[in-house]
Amino acid sequence: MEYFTPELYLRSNSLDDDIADQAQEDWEVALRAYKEHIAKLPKRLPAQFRELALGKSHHDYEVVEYSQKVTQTPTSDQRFGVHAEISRAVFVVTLKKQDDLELLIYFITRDVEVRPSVNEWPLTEAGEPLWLYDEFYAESDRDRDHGYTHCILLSNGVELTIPFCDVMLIPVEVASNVRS
Amino acid sequence: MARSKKSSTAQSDEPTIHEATCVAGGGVAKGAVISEQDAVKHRQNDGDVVVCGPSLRKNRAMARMIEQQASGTYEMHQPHTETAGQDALPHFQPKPRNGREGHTFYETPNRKAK
Repeated sequence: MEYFTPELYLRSNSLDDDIADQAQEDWEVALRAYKEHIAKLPKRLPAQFRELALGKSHHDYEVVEYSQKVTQTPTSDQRFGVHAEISRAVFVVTLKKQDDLELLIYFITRDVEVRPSVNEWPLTEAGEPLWLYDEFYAESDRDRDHGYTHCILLSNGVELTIPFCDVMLIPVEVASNVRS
Repeated sequence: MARSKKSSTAQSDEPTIHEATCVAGGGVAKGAVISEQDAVKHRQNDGDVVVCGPSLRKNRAMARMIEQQASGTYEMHQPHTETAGQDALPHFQPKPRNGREGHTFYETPNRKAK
């Protein structure tokens, strides 16, 4: 996270008025800077990337699970009688809010970085962490030559840095007997 | 006279508490003025409230106090305007959520309820 950093979030939660006041000002600065950053994203983006970056908010969703997997897609070329499987690495994030369950499936270009919380993160809670804030970057950004990056700060202080080339957002229908 | 003026100024800094509604675009609409006690009950019923006034510190302190009484443990969230809207307000909410809904919003010098 470069704008909505864990450190800034912690200062926002400070009981010290001087610290919290400064954090409030710094947050507004971060908001303006991020808005300028996001306005510079390339015009041509994967459709769901744009929806995630500029529209759909997952703030306050429970992050039920996240994991990196390899998917196998069968393929064949009948001209040559070739059958093969294409392997693609994906990172799947399972999100829940009330009765809404969603899967975010990133087609990743490198391993996802899961950065643990800073020492003595005071806001750790029982249960599933919440999605707090997220930031998007495109390949045009400095030092990012692998497509796109989505950084997510969770309420337990963990930061996910997901390098990807495409992303899918899939709402999941939850059966009523499962829901209850 | 000077004393009276000072008293009047101090009073104007005192926050007011309102029932609140989240509106399209991420803003917060303030409703009827309610007491602190009623605000706590409203939050315990998963309603939204907003603390309004010119003093950031007083607004934040009152919002924190309401959420603490309503939920016990809480955390403060800053607005993320890219997705929550330009008029989004900072707020306190239960920690953990445990199925609880609602927020205790508060105004800042830059962000006001409608």
